[in-house]
Amino acid sequence: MRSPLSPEMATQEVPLNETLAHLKTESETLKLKLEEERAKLHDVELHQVAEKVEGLGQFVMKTRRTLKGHGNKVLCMDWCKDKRRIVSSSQDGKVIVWDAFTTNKEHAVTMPCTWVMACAYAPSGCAVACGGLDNKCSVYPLSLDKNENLAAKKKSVAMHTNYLSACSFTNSDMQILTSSGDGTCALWDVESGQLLQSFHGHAADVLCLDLAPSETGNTFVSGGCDKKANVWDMRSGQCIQSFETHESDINSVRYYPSGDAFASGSDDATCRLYDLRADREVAIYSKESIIFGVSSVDFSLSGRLLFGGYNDYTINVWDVLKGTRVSILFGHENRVSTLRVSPDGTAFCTGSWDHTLRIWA
Amino acid sequence: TYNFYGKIQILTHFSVSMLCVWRPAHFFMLVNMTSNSSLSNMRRLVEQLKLEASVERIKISQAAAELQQYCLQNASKDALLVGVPTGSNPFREPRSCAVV
Repeated sequence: MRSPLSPEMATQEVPLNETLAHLKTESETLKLKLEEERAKLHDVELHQVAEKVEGLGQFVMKTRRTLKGHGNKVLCMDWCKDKRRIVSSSQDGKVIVWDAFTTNKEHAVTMPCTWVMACAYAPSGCAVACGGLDNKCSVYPLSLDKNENLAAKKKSVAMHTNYLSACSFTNSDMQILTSSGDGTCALWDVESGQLLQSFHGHAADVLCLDLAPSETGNTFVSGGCDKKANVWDMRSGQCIQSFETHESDINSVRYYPSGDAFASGSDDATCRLYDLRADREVAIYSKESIIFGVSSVDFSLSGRLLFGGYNDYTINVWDVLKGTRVSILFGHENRVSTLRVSPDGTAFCTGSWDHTLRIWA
Repeated sequence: TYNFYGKIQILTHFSVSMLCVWRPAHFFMLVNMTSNSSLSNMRRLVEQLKLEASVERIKISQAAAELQQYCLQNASKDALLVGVPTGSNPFREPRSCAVV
């Protein structure tokens, strides 16, 4: 194994560009080797394997609830583990907690900034996190007392040097993972606000992240404006796998329910599926007629369906195995900005620039 | 994507401490080209590539089969896929005030 700069070399006057050239050659060789290794495993396409699987019938999915109350574009939403509550955030700085069954608003907080691009429900259901143009992620404990001013108990947890694009609690209320326009992701301790780990590797704004299902260990995936989706080890901070096949910004990433793969949605109007054990893209979900970017993606409970919210106001539903579109849903009057399937898979929620959220089932 | 700030690609605010390079067609590498850091960046790139090269991979046929198996095994529990008995999806239940 070649060591780039051994002690003996340092004492001699080795020109800097010679060492650099050696490293460059080594990196080129490694890249070629990677290509070869991956090509050897590309023996079939996913949809070919799935040819014998029964096709899906017609889907009847409709808007079952419409949540009205935001005064401006809805940018993000998240489900509570109780499968009925939802937190949503908006361009007007408001963060609202809803009961999706009754459509009642349970809590409302006004953030000191506009464009609250990220919000998340704590696993306990007792707090929400949010942030955006303030470059921070703040946690608000939810009080049972409706008269209590939630803003008074606000806790600032994360500090980035640019906008907060996404946030997610880990398995407990104690830690939060964030991604930012400053190109990094970070893991924070909620109680102390301490930075536990930072993740460097994206070459531009990081727009989205998703934690691996808890059974599969401590990893998460992030997507960014550099067209890359990176898989990270949360403990070491290392990027363990990287995928760059999209042709534009990756707006959304979501793990397949088994944790062995993840989907991404991009401004290039495609969704893609990447298998982590094959270490490559295994499917592209696209149509010539779809030319607007995908803002958000999520899987149904079994992973058979992939829902994509698009900037052309629609939701496209894809058969993950066969690669075909099974349904297109209309209803929103502006671009769909956020989409999440409920924790038990009975419904999914979309948020839109038309100021509303819709529950579909 | 958000239109404010014109979605500026922030390349100047931070040094690229870990470069993750993808294959096959386009090897996009972003390196801060000052003489001091380019050597250390290259070293890190080589280390990162070695790490990625050491990943154990399986054939797509096997990966695809396992994805498919997971789908089929869990299909019956997937309410959005197969539907649920009438009345047991809380969102499909009619509410007391009729919504037209």
